[in-house]
Amino acid sequence: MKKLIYYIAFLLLLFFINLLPTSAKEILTCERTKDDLKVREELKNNNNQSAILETPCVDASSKIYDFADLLSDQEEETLFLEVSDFIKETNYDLAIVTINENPKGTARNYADDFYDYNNFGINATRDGLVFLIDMDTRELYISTTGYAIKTYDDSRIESILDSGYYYISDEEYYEVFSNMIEKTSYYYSLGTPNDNENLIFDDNGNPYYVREMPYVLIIFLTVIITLIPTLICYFKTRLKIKVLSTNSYLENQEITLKTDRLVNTIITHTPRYSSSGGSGSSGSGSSSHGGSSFHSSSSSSSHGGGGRHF
Amino acid sequence: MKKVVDYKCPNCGASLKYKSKENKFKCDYCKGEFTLKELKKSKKETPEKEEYNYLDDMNSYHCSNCGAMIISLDNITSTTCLYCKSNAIIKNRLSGIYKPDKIITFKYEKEDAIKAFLDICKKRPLLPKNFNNPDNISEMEGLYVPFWLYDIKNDAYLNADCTRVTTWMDSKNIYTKTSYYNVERGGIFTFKSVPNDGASRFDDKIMNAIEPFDYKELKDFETSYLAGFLSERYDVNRDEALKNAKERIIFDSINSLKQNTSTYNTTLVKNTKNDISVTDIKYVLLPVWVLNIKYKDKIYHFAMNGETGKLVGEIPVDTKKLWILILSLFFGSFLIIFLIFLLLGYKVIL
Repeated sequence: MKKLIYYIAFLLLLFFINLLPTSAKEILTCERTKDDLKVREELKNNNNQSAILETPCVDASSKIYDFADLLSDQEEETLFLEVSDFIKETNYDLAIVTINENPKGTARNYADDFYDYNNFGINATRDGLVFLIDMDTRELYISTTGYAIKTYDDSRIESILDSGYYYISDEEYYEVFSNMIEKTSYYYSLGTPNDNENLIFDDNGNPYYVREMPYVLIIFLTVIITLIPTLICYFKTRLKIKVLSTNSYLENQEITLKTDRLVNTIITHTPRYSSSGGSGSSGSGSSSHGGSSFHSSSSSSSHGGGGRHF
Repeated sequence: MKKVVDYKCPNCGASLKYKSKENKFKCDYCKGEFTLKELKKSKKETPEKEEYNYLDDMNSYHCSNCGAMIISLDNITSTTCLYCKSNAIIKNRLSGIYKPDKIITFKYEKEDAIKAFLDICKKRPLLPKNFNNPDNISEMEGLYVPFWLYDIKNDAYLNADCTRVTTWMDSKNIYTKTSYYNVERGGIFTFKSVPNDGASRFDDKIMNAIEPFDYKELKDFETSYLAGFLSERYDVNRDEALKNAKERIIFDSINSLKQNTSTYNTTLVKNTKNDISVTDIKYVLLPVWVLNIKYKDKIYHFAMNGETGKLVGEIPVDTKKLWILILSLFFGSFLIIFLIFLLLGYKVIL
């Protein structure tokens, strides 16, 4: 009898589960424990254990992680295809994430950690991007890693955010991601922005800007350093014969004639104040420094990117 | 007939040298010291044999001391015998029109002149190699150079166009008043004893540069003062040498008149006149230490005023040293600056 009740209860449970929205496609997850953090070896032994434990452990090949359930199954499948195409085309990884609750406080931390503590990224520099819609902090965020930092400078990130932001207020989340993928792919085809020509990666895959040798300045300084002592030595060495005046032999000097005849006088005048031109218009607007801004995440790896609240 | 005179020490018979610091003749061998009066007196007591020679054409004489041949150029009036170092003064060349009126004797010895030259070579980083080596410097010779001293009066006249500019302003305008003047200046300049050397082998420029001599030290000429020094008689006559002296005083008189117009803002000299009259000419011998140094096929002349110790001359820059300095500074500093920027994190991007 007891068994029967359990059985019916189980069937009822299954029924109710079936009543849940059909779009809730299963996300393959795994368990993290203190003994088995399920992260790459090099990320362990930092003081980031709590950050790792707060990060969901997912199968990196799924690409679409709709924790907030903002997308339908159909949309997820379409997006998956778009993401796969993007990865093939650009050789940058791409993860699309939505969340309702953010234990890390900021969209940036969540996106960075999600990427770092799961097995995302292509090549040793783990190139790739994360598109995150954080319903907790209400922010649309893009995180870039590896060479993606170089390809997507701040202005391109802003432009990609623009392309998605338009749809976010209409809650057309598929359009948000689809447009962003398209824009991201487009910028890839433009290559590295000029601002980021000097951005290179160190042995740990962290990007930094190299400053190019200022050759003109070096030559200028070299010439000055050469010229000054050379001239000093030259004039210290050279000795010339000075021609003397005969004034020491002058016994007597007597001015006998002194006439000054005024021949002509000319008076000219000019206006005292030179006419002032129109007041110069002072330029306004913030000057944006070029290139990519980047930061290091809790795993101490570098990420670029940017976000926007909605 | 020419006569070569050498003053002998009344004690030991060695050649005597005149030392002007003490105004005495000194014997290097027995350390005897004599005044001119004493010498003349001793001469009278033991009349010195006067030696003659007859080799006029060849400009050569027999040394009165050792009999060796002394060969001297036309203008040399005193020299030393190459063999026995005794002094030889050729009296005939110092007589008649060649007899100097006055002389200033050496106050600075050869060692002083060498020291002055070495001092002037100090702290010159690009001094040519071997410029101050002892072989060169030992050529320093003390020389009585013939000089003409001119007393000159110059009645100078200057005509110039001058302008005077004044500016002022009121509330609206800035006014500029330019007044044009025709200005005449005249003056009589009296110069006393303007020197010019009468030896063609010396550059007037360098001989002018060692001026001035202190004419208070001028004394009546005595042949004996030349003992131990080289001396020359003039080969540029008084009229020729005057040209250079004239140029100098004309330049300075006109300059002086020009300065008289300095109250104007601009002065443009249109015309000048100089009426020069020479009131007196003296022929004197002045003491000069001379040194010639050859560097790169050019001879650099140095001269020291033997009375005041003033040393003049031209020192060139060693071109090889200069290039080594430039190149080593350039590449050295380039390397250092390059490394500094490299350490600051700048990278070479190819």
